Amino acid sequence: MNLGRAAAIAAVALFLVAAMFVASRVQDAIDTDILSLLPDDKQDAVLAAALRSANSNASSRVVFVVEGGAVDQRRAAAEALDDALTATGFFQSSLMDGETLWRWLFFNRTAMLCPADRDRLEADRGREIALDALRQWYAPMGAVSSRLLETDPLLLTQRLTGCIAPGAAGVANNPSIEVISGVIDASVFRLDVQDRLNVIVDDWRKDRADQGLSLHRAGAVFHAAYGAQQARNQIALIGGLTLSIILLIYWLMFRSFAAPVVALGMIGYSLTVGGAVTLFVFGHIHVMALVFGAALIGMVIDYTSYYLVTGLGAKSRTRDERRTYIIRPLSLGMLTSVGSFLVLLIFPVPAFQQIAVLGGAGLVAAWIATIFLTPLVAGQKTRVGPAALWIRKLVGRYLSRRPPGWVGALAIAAIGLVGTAFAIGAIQVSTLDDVRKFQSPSPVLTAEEARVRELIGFTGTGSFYLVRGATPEEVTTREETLLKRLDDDGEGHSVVWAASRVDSSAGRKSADRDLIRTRLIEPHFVLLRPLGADKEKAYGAPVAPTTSPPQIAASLRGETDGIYWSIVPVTAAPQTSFEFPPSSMHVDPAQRYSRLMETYRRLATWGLVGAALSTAFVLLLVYRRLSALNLMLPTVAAVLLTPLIACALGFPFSFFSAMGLFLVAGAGMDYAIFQWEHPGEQGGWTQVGIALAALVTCISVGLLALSSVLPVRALGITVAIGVVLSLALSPLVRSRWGGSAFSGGK
Amino acid sequence: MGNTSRLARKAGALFGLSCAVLVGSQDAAFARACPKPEALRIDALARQFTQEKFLQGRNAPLISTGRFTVADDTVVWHMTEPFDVETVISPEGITQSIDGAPAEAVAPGAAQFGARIATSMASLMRGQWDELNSMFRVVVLPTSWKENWVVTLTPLDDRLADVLGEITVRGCTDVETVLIARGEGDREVIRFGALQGGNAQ
Repeated sequence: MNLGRAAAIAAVALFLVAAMFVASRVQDAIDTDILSLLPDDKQDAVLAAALRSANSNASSRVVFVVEGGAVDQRRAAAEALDDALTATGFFQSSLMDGETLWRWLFFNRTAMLCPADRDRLEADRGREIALDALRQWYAPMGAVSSRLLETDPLLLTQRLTGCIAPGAAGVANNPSIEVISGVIDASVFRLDVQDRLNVIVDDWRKDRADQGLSLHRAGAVFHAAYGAQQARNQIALIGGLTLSIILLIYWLMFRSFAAPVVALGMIGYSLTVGGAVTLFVFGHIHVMALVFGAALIGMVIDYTSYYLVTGLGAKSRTRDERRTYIIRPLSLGMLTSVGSFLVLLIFPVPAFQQIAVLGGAGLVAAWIATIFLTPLVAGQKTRVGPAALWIRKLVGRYLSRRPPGWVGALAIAAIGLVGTAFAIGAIQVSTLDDVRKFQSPSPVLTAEEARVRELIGFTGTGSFYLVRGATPEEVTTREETLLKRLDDDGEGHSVVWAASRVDSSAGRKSADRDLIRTRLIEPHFVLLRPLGADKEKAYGAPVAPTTSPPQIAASLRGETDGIYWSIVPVTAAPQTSFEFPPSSMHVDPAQRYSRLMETYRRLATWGLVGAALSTAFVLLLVYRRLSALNLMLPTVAAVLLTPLIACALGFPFSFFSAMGLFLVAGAGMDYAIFQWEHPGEQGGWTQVGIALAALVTCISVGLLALSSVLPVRALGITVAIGVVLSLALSPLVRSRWGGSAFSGGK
Repeated sequence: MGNTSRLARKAGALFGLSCAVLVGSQDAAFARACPKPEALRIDALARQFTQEKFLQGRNAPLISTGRFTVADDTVVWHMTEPFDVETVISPEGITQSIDGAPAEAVAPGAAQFGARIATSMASLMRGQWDELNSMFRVVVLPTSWKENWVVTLTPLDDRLADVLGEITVRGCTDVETVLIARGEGDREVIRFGALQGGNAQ
């Protein structure tokens, strides 16, 4: 068995293993969380953890409101929905939270106070609380009982419940609706979770289409499902269109059905191996990485083009000759492209790290398939199609030109000038870092959420206060100080939940216990004597800590690297004049992410400089001559000009545009290297291959501009412009500037 | 023979008389029969109420009195003795005023439950059975034609049922008494009567 055949067998084995691995893992491994696209805050690990926690808390909550129809039908429909949700195993009704909360507050009824009651007792107005309780005992149909008379005649637990969960009133008092709320106890970004919920909602609506009932939903899971569906549609649309166009082009180029089959095989091979490596490294794959995978089709298929065009023309070559003809430029192009992809790994964005691995592994797989498998299946000779002749006649002529030396010098001067202008800020392109503009929400879901808000006062919250401390007690104490200050400034109403309100600090509990005992129970319990209440029986026994704090409190607290923290979700930012207590800050996640996006956009731009230096190093290493740097002229020029042109067309520069420029750099270097390696008439068909590769990349990646997601759209537009520029400028590699031109083909 | 025929005539007359009395009394009873509770359509009313709250282990009930009024969409439950607490339930929400002080919004808690029952009474009087059915399992108990009607309301929500218990409403041309039977032997009896001062409608 010769080496080539052994390598081919190994390549096939690699594919089979990868395919089996992907098949076994892909079911639950697709991540659709848009926030995964955003960078972690590496500078502040506590803030990053708090952001994740806040996102998780906010995203896991769901609310369903059933409206309309007859009462019996509405109730039955709501129960059916509740049953179906509970049967999933990942839905936990809020009713359970309420019971846990009540038990917790009862155990702490003599150790915790509402802020208003604390003020009352501090002002020695405990009599008001006792009288209030007495009124409740006499009030018609109040929720009092003989057991409460024994255990809590001052109705302290009810008072705590009233101030801790003030929002419950709206739900309780609306008899024309049924509300089901709870938490999704699984990642709401898992496709199987989303699909399950969608099926439940669709079935529910189908079964009750004739009952006049309507269902309104609120929750991040539905937006995630919408986004995922959009992404899937886009993958299908973009992937389908790309495949169709590419197959047509190949047939027109080579008049062969074998060529498209080879191309399809190449796509399948690369994506399967790339996907397997990504799943192996990360355990899951982001749906946006899959969209980028659709773009990868355009890059890996280039490799097929480079091989197939070696069979064009009068000269007949054996498989080995054809392989030898492309192995050097293909390898070098692959290495520079993979290098560009790998630069993405330095960015702390999981989805982009996945793209780096998917892209890198996919290109290596494409290289393996091109070198070891394509020669075996593509046949000895390729037929010349009408498109190949047309491209050779029109585009090939342009690409084979050798620009005079002054053009190269001018290009270098222009690149230096534009680059310097960018660096010193003399040229500024419009930028977009606001994450809120990245994806348009579903109008249907937006309307449903608005209706839910209208009916039950549900308020989605994004921003929060972050409080830190060396110990849990210190954090809770600081949070209490913050809440007090907010109350004093009239901003307490913006607080949605606070862990310290449910589970206050030990110091606060001790102080409250003293207040309750000395300012309420001791002096005013006597008012309840007519009821026959027994003070000692009710409040004399110590409170046994028989239950732990409710989940709502635990979910707002955390610890990162030995620092304890808590988050306080709010509906509004504080006044600018608000004085924060120590170690407290207001966090607006959208604003925070936007600022991070700005930082990473700048870093990515500098990363491009790093990628250019890395490419220069590889070129000098391989060619060992300064003039090899000519290879970079077209790509560098394209990378500099692309943002300017995109902005002129109305597409601002973003972090994702910078990511797209990495792809431009990879593909552009391929064109330049093939131009350098196969110059002049000798490379006539190679230039057809370059043009074909550029055309295919431009179509496949350019179609990403159809996406509704800005990151994907920005990538598509950037790569489309950049690839066209790289191709158009590729003859610059043959400029005589910089000494003797090129040896080519060695 | 003569005596026998006289006795027979007397007996016949008595039978006829008794039948006439019986038929007459039946007619009178039919004229006073209560309408079915579903037929109640009282849009506005004002009643005096007396509540007795019996708590297990406590001999004497807690007694309170006051006024209950329903007008348009608003129900006012005004306890005047032993405390002055006016609870107003309207589509805008629930407010409470103590000793004539400005009304304040009510936080969830005890007053919410009372408000729920009060609105249910108002719904029953207005014939708004859809609203009743949205919160309670409503059963109209079979009663003889000459008795007041009896309706039982059991909260559909199990947790609410634990707190409120079962409510039995008895009445004729409107609600007359409400009995709330809670767990652990607690119960409340509310009697509605004509408003002193003659404002009852």
